[in-house]
Amino acid sequence: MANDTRQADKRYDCVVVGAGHAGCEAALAAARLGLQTLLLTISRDQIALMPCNPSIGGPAKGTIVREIDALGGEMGVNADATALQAKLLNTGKGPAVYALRVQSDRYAYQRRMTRVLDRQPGLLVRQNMVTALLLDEQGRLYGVETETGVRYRGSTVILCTGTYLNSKIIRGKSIVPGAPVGQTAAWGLSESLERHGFSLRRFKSGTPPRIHKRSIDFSKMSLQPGDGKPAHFSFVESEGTRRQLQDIPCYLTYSNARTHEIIRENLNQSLFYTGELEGNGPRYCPSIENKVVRFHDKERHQLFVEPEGLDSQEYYFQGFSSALPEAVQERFLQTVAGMENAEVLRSGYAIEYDAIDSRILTHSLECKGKEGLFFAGQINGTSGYEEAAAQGLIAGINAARKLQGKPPFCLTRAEAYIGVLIDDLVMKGVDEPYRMLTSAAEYRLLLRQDNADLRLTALGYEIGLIEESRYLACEEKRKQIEEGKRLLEETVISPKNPALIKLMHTKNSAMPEHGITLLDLLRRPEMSYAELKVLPGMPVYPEEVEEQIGIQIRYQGYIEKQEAQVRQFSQMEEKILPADAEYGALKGLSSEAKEKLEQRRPPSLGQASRIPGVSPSDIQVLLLYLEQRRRSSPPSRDGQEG
Amino acid sequence: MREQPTRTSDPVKDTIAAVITAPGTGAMGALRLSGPHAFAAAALVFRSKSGRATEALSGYSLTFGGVYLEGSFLDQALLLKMKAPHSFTGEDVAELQCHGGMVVMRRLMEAVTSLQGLLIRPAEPGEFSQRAFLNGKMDLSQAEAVMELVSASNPRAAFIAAGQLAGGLSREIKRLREGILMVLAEIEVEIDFPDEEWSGSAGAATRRDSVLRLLDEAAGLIASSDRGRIYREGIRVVFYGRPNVGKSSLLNGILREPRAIVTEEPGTTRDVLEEQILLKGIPVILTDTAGIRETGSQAEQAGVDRAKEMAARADLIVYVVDLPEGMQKEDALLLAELDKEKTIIVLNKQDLAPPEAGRDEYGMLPDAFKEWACCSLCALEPESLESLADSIRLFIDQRYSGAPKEEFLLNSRQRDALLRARQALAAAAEALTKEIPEDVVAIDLKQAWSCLGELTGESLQTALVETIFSKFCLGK
Repeated sequence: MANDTRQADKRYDCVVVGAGHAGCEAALAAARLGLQTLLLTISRDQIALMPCNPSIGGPAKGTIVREIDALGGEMGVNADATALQAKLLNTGKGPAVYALRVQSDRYAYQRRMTRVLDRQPGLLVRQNMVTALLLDEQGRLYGVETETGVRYRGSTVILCTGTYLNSKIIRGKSIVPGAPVGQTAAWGLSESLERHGFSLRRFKSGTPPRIHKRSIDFSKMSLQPGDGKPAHFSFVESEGTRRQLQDIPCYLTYSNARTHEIIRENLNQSLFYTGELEGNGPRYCPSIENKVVRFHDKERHQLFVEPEGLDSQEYYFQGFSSALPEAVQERFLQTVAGMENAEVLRSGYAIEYDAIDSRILTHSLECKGKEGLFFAGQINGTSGYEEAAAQGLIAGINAARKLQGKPPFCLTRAEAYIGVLIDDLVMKGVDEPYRMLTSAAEYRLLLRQDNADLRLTALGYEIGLIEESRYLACEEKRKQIEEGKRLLEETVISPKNPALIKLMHTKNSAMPEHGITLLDLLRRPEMSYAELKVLPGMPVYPEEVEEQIGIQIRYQGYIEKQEAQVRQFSQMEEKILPADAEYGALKGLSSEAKEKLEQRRPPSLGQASRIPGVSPSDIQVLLLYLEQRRRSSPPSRDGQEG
Repeated sequence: MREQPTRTSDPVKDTIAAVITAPGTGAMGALRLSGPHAFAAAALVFRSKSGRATEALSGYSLTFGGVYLEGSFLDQALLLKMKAPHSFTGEDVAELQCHGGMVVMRRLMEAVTSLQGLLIRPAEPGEFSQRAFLNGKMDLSQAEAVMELVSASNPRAAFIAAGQLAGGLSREIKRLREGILMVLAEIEVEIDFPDEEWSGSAGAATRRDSVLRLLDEAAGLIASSDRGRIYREGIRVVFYGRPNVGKSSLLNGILREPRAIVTEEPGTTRDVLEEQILLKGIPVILTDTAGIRETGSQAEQAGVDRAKEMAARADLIVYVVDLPEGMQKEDALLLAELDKEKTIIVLNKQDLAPPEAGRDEYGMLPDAFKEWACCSLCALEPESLESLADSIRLFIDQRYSGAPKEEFLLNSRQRDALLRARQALAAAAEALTKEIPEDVVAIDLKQAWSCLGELTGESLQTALVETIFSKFCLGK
């Protein structure tokens, strides 16, 4: 098969395939950690493309962006630098679920990311399509081959093929090979993967039409501005990321009975409704057809109109994703208020692509049994730019650590949303494109967007992606928070204090009978840190320190509950399942559990408990098995020596 | 390293014993021994009627005879021998089936666990099943009791398969969980999809009402399970009060035998004494306690502490007041700590009370306690004790009437899980009224859901995500 007379152009430490959100982070992390890195992309003009919503962040996703930033990734800074408007969502709820979302100038986002990549020492971004993985006779990975027949040797390879692998674009009965924004699908690599024993499956996504600005009657829609205040993902300021945003608005309109009627009448023109195509599509991002069919009693559906960029006349029509024929799309599009004369610039479509079963990966995103081969992003079955970027970062870090002989870097479910994301991928696996939800995180109150720096900066520093000055600043912040909490606890205000009397009166708060600490005052729901500054002894800190003190004091009871849950979780994670366990012979295990455990061989009881098909009573059996093993094992060395 | 005193030997190698019939009255009481010394122990307490030596009885046999303690006859008995590995536990098992009664069985249990030279200890709850499981004699779905044991050390991991619970309770728990899940799904979907059109604050108010309703339902389940528990374990009636008011005399009077030592000396009772009787077909555990007073004696103080502890765990407290002495300040203080619904005040030594014209003995009750259940009697006169027995019967009638439903016979682990669920729901309800954000209160709700899940064996995160997607139309 292989023709070894063709010599590789060059040997790299790391070859990243695909320059989407996963590939960009992977390549940057690897290069920044000292690997000679090659990033191969089908088109150098479509780096960091947003083929769907021109926006970054939102619930859970926004937290992921901040986690990426705290670990030394690029997405946060890039989004800050190219935002058109920003909105903090969920402010009516608790701080754990506050969520920043920005509308991005998608062209500016791509330009800036390309610039960052091209200026990164040790990294080369080259246009070429990878068509094969190269493995030697022993099955060891040594590089990739491109459509032009060039071979690149790489000690590690990170596949970030997104939605491009054997991708097909579907509108009505038309199925054509293709990829977003008119690019070509990646051919060849799927066959190569299958030859090497990977089983692939088809996942599906979709996107709505883009409409010409001049044809939209915005007066019939409601204005959706941003917060109009500076907002940022990144914890540090850099090139213009703390600027005042222009606050380019979005608009809201609705579908109606007529829209739904046309859709229903034409369902037979969708391959997904005639049963000719299945495709596992994301439930949280259904096509307008799916919404009309599944929620047939809903009279209208929300539709958002979002700008694609400052220099662009295109508007993205969120909520209107469709796989119906172009002509039908235009007919029901024009029933929507404000869209009567809509000129479609690009029609909506569904896209099908190859993905792997993410359960073949370890928590470092390396493929089990194929050393040096990593997977990140949509190929693993996720959806979303943020989810992809997070995986890219982790894969890039781990490729570097592998070559440098360091242990893998894996985040747990108790440390970060990224930990939850990857654990779900590799332990549970996914049946449809996976979107990060806050409800997937068990310890949401601990994994807040506001404390991502406190949670992860030290880890980013240890890895080598965070500069020392930033690490020290973060530690200083931590110190100030602790000091502030102590001062608040120690400072008692007399009930005779006139400032207190006045404050209690204006805030309609109960007057304390005895001296009261600042801490107890801050616990009162009606009090804020800023308002308490009229009292003597109230310490003054930078805003983000005061914010942390406020949150930590106010939610102390619940934070402690979650910390207790984390301790229980850790206990299960620390119960090691022996590598030689014969699950098939264990009495009491269900046959499904036996099969799953034999196949997956989870390293810990905690991980075993997250494998679907392993029930809580199976976990009980494993607990008893561990206990029996412990009791029947010979006395430990401690015992003999003592 | 020294050996731990509590684990002196390989626990699977020692022999365990337990009374395996329910406490209380029954046609039969049985004691089970399992382990290498089971047959040896049986040989020391059992004599066959035929005179054959117990050791000589075959490996699988049922033999009639008697149980003898220190040479004297205790009860007639059947001895069942089952040789390893073909027994319930997979070990040598001996079962002694007697005519029963708490007293007999307790004495037998004490005797076998103190036999010279044999290492026999009382079994921990679920330990027979655990051994059966460890020896491959049963699978886990049959071994609910095993899980009970495990749960003691791993509360979070403890679940039981849904099918193991009898239908009724399981259905109730599932309904409760679905209710919690719906509230959670609404909270979660609003967080994860803030752009969608949700019901907003009106939704929050509805959710708060839902949580309050769920809390009521959980409390209802616990009350039902309490009724079930009473039938299985008996009602705990605790005699409580200051020293020398006649608590021990009352106990003796009701038992019609002098079990408790009675003297003129206040503070004679220093430990807790328990006896069981049957009232209205329900087992009642009568508990005598040390009189409550300030004391310099360490031993007495320990008794006082224990008495308070027993009172806290009681189903019914019989608070005894010395009628001639009258209601003291300490009485009022102690009574104030008790639950009116669970207390009967007994005015004792009626015979010694100075006659006072125009005023009955109840007149001495302070206003605060006028509404409390009360009876006056003389502990030394059997007839007058009837009035207390009547009061206890009335209490049983009111609180535990109706036949217990099988499905509500919770074991202690299940009951504990249910109690924790209620506690979490109560915390959620309180937090919502204090306007703590819903995403934070979700922590309590998930806790409640997961505690209930210990009874049905499902996992939260998957179920929640499923619910979110099945119930709501999401656009983004």
